[in-house]
Amino acid sequence: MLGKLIKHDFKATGKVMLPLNLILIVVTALGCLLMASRLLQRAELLPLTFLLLFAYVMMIIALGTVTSIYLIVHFYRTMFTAQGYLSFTLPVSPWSLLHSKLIVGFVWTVVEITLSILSALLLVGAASGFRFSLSDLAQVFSSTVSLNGETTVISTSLAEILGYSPAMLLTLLILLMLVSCFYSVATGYGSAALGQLYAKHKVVGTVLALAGTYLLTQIIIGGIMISIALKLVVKISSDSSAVLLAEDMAGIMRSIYQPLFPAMILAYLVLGIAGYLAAGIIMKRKVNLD
Amino acid sequence: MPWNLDSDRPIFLQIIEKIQTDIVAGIYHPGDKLPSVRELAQAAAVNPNTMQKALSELERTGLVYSQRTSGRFITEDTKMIQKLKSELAREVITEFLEHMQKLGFEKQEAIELMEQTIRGETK
Amino acid sequence: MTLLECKHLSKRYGKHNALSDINLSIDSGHIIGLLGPNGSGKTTLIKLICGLLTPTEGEIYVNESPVGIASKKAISYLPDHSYLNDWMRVRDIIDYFEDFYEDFESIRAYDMLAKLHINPSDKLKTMSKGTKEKVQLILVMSRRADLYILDEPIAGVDPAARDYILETILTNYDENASILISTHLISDVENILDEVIFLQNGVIRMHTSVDEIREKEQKSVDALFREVFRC
Repeated sequence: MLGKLIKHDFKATGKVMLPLNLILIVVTALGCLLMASRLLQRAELLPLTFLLLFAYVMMIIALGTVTSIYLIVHFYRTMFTAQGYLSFTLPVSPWSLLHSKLIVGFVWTVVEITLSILSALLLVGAASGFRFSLSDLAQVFSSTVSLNGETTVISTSLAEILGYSPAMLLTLLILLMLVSCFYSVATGYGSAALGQLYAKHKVVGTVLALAGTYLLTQIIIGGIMISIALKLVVKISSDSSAVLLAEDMAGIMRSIYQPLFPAMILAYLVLGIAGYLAAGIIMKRKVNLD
Repeated sequence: MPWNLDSDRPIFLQIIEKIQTDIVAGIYHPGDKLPSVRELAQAAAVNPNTMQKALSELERTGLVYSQRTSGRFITEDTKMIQKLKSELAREVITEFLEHMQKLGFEKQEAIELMEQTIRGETK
Repeated sequence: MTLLECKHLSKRYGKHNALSDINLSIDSGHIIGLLGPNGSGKTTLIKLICGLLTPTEGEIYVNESPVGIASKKAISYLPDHSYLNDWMRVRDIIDYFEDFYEDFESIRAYDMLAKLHINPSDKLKTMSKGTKEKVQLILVMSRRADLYILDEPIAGVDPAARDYILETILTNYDENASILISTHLISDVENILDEVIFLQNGVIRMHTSVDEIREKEQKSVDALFREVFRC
């Protein structure tokens, strides 16, 4: 049953999501051609270049936002408006309905973000003529840099600051991306479910719930950062050797940044699960279709 | 077309009356096979249970009989059908006379008026 | 096994009692009218049975199991408004129903559509309101469910369409199933009902067979309704 729900939901959402991602691909392709042709490197076209760059960034942001909003609206429409009559009379449990919508929403969000990232990388690559390689990227993290064959040593590497090897960092970034996609979809659905409880003004309720979620997220993330900074302050003040400050700058940075990634991943995961549970419990116990 | 049925009398009684009328008028011949309950119900635009009730009652009086696998049939007893025909006619006549009485006619007057009307038709 | 049973069912919205202490029992093989003025609680009762609302008090059993996946399998429900995605084509919706409902018979659906000259490739939004309602009815009646619940199937539809709808209901009737029709257009449907439930202000006023009404009260159900619910 879950498979069938997923299949049909992909069909329904694909009608909007596929063209959206197609636009991204087409724009990226055009952008790469433009970059490779070096037309934009002419000085007199500089304002145009800035404009196009600006438009591109706006488009990326817009596509991401539209994806998010569309998925929430689709969820709301198929669960809590007239179409909800069809959804909730299917011989499936409300949790199955939620899971299918979550999976589909998650997949589209991940696809859209991945394509956006790839698009940016491709454009950068096209601009530089694809002359850089993976080893160039790795240099960003290492303590030696080779430019045109010359090697210089940077005193501290990104890896030391962040406290992770390149491979680990990449893994964490990917994990962060996936979890935040889950968070975005799950809290979006949770907000929709909470919003429709507010019987007289369901849409307003949903918007308020979304705003509330955003606020809560910011508070939690902010709280994490503050607690990390506080820990550092405490550590510094209790260990009053000035030596600490001078020589171990990297160590200090590390103690800020290293826990940051896991903390954020955890925070998004917890908030996402909260949204998921809110949506599920409401759909199971508090359905109230007009 | 759905049969002409009154909502303020039990439907199954009206169905019985209609089928009885059809039988005595010769629309159904003795021994004819009746359509299924579903078909009759659809034709009459009534609940199949109601049709079933009517047919069961007709079976009870013997006007209709059922053969387990083949369905329901009109009785072949022509004497019974004749008797029913007379009874139904008698009911119509009684009603007519009562009605005429309400209009203020005596029975004799009613008969005369009836004969006049008939002669008037054939003139 | 009783097809549908409601025990002490109540639904409250804040201070408003939509339904109070409903006790009801329905067996298979009947066509039942759920009759009552607007606001009497007919749709609330139907939504509770279908699992679209949760009761404030009381229990509902369909084929002796509580409202859930099993009951949803057994019930084929026609809401009183459009509930399908307008952008879908008729044949897409038929595929959808076939996918989720084991008892859905697409051949019957296509048959009925053909008789009405409805093209399965048409999108719902290109259809008139009456045609859309017929499509929705066809979908519901093409299932071999135990309980069909039709909420105002003939309201807002022209008399010819009404005849068609009643005919479809009768044609697809199965003595192993029951049909619950909620309506306020009583005179049009009363000839096909064998039981009626009168609902007023969330309370059952009467639950009898139609024949009893005609024999005892010597009235049509419609006439009795007007008496009972006189404003």
